Amino acid sequence: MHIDAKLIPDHSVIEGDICIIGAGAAGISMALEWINTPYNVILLEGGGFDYEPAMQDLYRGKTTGQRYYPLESARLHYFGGTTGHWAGFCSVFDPIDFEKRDWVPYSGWPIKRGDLDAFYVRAQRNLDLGPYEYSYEYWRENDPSLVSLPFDPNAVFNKMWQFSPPTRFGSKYKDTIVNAPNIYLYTYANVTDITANEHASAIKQVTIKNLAGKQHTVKAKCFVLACCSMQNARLLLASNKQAPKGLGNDHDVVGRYFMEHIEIKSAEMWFPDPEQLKLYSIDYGKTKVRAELAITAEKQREHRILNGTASFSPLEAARNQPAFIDIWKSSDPKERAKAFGKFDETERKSKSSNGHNSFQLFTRIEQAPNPNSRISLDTETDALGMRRAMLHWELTPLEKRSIRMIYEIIGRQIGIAGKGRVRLMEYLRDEHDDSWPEFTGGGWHHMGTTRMGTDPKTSVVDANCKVHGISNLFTAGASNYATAAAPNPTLTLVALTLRLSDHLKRSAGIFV
Amino acid sequence: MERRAFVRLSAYTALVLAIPLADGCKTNPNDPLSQPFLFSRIADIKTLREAGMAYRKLAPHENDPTSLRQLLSEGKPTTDAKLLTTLLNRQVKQDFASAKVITVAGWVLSVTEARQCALFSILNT
Repeated sequence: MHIDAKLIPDHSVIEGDICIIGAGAAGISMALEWINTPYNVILLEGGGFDYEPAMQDLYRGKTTGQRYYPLESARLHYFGGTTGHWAGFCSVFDPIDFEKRDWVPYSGWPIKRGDLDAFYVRAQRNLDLGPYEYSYEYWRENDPSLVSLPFDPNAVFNKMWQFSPPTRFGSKYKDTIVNAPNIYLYTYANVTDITANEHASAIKQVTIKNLAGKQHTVKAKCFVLACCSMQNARLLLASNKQAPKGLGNDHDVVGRYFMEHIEIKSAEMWFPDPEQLKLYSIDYGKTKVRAELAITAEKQREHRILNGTASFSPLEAARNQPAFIDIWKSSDPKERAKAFGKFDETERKSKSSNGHNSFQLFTRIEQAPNPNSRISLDTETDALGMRRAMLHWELTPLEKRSIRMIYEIIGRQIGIAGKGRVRLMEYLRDEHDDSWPEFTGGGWHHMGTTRMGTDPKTSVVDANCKVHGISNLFTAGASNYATAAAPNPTLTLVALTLRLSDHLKRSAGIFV
Repeated sequence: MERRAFVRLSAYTALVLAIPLADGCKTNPNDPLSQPFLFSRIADIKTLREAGMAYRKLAPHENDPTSLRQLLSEGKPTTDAKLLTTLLNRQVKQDFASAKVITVAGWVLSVTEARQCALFSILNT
């Protein structure tokens, strides 16, 4: 059922069993799981079904520290959320990503990769991906033309990616959600406050507002915050009536450990003869799988580096492409989509059927969890009177050292193979230089801010995504990530959400 | 040899020798010690020179042709260019395998081929 919160009487009280706040990849995945259950599910979406500048403006905010994109352009504020413009890149986290690594401060999840496998299988379906297969061998068997570079698999391996069409959750799942008898989708329902009981140990209700001036109350037995890493943190911090520092923030962790993937051109690979590298190529909209070069867990341990991957683009075209941070700087996310289209076109045109002698190597690497990299609240408020989010993005020397080492390892491997040579870009050459070049960018992947862990002093939610100390408040999405891994976040955040959903179904006591 | 054929051959030889000189390159292309086999198929003369000069800065104690020739010839008792090339290529791969690797002008090279570039750069200043 769909209800427009602008059209119902002011100060309505809405009641249900579960209240899911946010209708993006996480919120919709969660709601789909509850269709035809005995529970009434309230799904709150701040926007409508389409892009609206006024709604998007609610996401505006300042940034400091490492140069970043305009905040309002990085996410979409309508039903379907940021899947409305995602590119569909999917891969799984590696087992090492969940481990405590003594060289990566604050690393380690309270769950293992194996705990997510069954949910990855289900997430694949939500995202219209192929089989849950991410080994190079599997895909090579299906397509013998996917030939690997001859690397020692103990050092460098082919990390496989699958590509969603990309699934736009807004269009794909709208009818299913709207027609579900026990799902109550409210659009134009922006949560501006979460009200806890006196001791802030349980949530009683949330307040929703919209630009039509209406305000309503939603009561439920269980609340799931699923409105992206920035907004999850913003809401918890802004909800400070019962907990002065914000809900779940007794130890000043909410909003901290904000993580992005550093996405940056880093090196070149040169061959004496033209190479096709089909395995590593992508034709947007057509390619189902491709590989990126990744460093094995053993080598990461040996060199004490972060997890990252390298992708290939023909050098001739890549050299002339401006960096993402320079072309995707419009505050209007639709402009970003246009820029992305031009980017694809240039790359497509540059492809030669005879192959290429040189390729640009592009890095996507996790950022080390860093408490100083954070979301906080600005003094400026948005049109609904809510304090705006402010991002301070901060990197550490470990990220840069890791990128340099990744290409030294790849350079060694291509040298052992006698196949070609690697050349590092200028900014990586001085190992004592920790600065970042102007073209350093992120992937628009917001992670952390309500990180998962066992210790409330360094985490916000437990292994079941429940906010520490609050019995009926959960978070869904990439805000739960304790570390960022190398892959884009969508597949894993959907898997984590499905795991949370199963946990809630087992926790019948919560609905009494 | 017939005189006409001799003249033709001499002119051809002179031309072949003159081309690299005109290009500013004084290296004998048949001197494997100053010709990194794979890298010189990738890099142009300027790049080889830059890599060589960068290596010489990093290893100033090797910054003369005698030292470099000695280091590169070590364990290769041959003057046969073809055999020497094979032995040097093998050493380059061994360097990579045993982490005898150096980054010069951004290039991740084996120490052996970096020395070859260094010699090349000295011979082609």
